[in-house]
Amino acid sequence: MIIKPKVMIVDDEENVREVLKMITSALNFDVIAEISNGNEAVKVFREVKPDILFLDINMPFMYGDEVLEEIKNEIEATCVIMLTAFSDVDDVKKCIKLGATYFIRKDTSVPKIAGIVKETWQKFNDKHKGKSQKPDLHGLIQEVENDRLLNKYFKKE
Amino acid sequence: MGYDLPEEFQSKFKLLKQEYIDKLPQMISELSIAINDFLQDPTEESIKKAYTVVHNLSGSSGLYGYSDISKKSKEFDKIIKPFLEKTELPTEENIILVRQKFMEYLSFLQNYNL
Repeated sequence: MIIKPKVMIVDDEENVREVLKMITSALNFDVIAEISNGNEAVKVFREVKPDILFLDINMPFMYGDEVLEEIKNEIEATCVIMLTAFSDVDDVKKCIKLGATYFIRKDTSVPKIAGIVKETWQKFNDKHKGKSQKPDLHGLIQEVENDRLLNKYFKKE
Repeated sequence: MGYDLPEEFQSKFKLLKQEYIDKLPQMISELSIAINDFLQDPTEESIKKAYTVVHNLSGSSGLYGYSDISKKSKEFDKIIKPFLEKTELPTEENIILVRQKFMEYLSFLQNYNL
């Protein structure tokens, strides 16, 4: 029997949660929790201990990075994928340093999001089965820096 | 790194995107009312209403392929968020800035060709 990875989605926008649910279902993952705010996210995360956590950075009242700060010592077995908008470069870098596995910009095309999620989970899962080396933190931060569109926008501000 | 999503997904996503397109004029109208309320009487409730619409537009527009709406919304989101978080006071000077930026943002949304 194939065990489906358990997914928790944290985003204050219903539309985003809905599309992520559709993507994860298409990938044959199991969405076990859907949360719209950061405060509740911390509580539910501790209850359900998901395999994959989608975490929006920019939410009102409690940011995704604050949620991550709260649970940073409890995410070793969770693949944390941050959801970002255009100008969250510094926040993304902070989240990666706090232990996030990867990041997805919300203006990424849906098939590409699905591809990123699938590949990120596979790599994370392989790592936890001892098949690969430690994550290349420096490389990942460099990837954030190199995100051409993101940086282009950031420089304008 | 793309993934071939099944036909069923494509049709459901198409429906959601159409819902978003259909709802956009209503969202613009709600936003306009909320911002005008805020400009006339800057209360916590009026700024919360406005922020919710702008923030939703910022995230969902990108997801449905309208990244320029998402970007503009994000810019305006950043202008009004400090009022919601009370790190900025609705002084006369700030209200003038919000009004000016809102007019630019509203004009962009109203003239946008979906």
